[in-house]
Amino acid sequence: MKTASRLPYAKFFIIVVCGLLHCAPVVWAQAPAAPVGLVNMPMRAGIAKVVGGDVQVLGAQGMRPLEPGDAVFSGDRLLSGKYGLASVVLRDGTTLVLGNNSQLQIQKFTFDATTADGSILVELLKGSIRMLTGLISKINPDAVQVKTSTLLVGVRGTDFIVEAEEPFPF
Amino acid sequence: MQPTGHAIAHSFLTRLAAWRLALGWLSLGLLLSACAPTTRVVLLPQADRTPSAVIVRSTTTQVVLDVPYQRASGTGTDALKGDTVSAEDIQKKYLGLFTAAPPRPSKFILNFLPGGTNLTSESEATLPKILAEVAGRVGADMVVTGHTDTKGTAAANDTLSLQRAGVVTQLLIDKGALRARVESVGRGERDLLVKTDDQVDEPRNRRVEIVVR
Repeated sequence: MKTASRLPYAKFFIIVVCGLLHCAPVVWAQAPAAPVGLVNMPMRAGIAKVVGGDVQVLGAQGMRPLEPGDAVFSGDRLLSGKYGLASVVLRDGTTLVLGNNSQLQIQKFTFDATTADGSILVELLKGSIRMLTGLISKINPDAVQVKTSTLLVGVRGTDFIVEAEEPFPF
Repeated sequence: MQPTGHAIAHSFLTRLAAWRLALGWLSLGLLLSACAPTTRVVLLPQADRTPSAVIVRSTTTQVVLDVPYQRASGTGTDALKGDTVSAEDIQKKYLGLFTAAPPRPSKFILNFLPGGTNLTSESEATLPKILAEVAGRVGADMVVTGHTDTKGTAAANDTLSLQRAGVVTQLLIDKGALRARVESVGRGERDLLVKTDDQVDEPRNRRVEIVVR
């Protein structure tokens, strides 16, 4: 009886192991490509300006403390501690200010400086941000959005604050 | 028939049980709604007082904030609530969002002698002022944007505007600007300072704009 009841777990275990093995070669295959990626560094999304207290960036290269003048990239997540504050100016002039104890992910930033076309999607995971929109919003307001776990904010050329309470862990 | 003491006690107890059940559900409901994270969005005034707006969407409702200090709050599942807050309260509550904001960008315009990539002497003299502005800012970066007048084809003007931006970028780097903090852009004849017809020689449109931020 006992073996019979454990069988589903065994199956699950096999599936998980197979899954890991299946994924592993993909991960290994990507590793040697890293130096090529460095040569072909993506264009930055913006530059950090005022940074106060503890602010970290979680990006493709892992976690690092944010310093004024640092480049931030599309996909980066900014995390501020209890007394952490930071501002970032994106290439199109959009300004993001991150409040205390906040997390913000630059989900998407694309920008063609010649035509001023592009798009911005940032997600506020918790805490507060202020956003002053730039060129992209001037050309196409619908291309700039802020989301939280519950709401979506669209923009019409402006300065505003978004505050998101931390979602419950379940 | 008169109800016995037993029957009265029984009906009292069933009613009490029903009330407690209702109360239980109510408190569970309150607890759940208290757990749903609330998002708040507050519109701030534009520095130049021009009108602006944000559109806030939940899964069920949509609210447009178009007067400064209007606020929308919601959890995503219930209808969005709207109210107006005072400027003082907002500045107190979100103080860091005001103190950590970078100073407003500064813009400089440099002009060119006709046709080529040589700066006028006045513009040449502006370069040190630009670098002083950079030095006065934390984590400063520059966008150097070249523009042309409407003489020539759009494609040729894209090239010329980028060349002009490149010349100014190089001058700034020669004078000590950090290469990694300057972006050169050529916008051709897309953004005329003085609106003209096509094929018009207009010196004020032959320019490079430098934004220090």
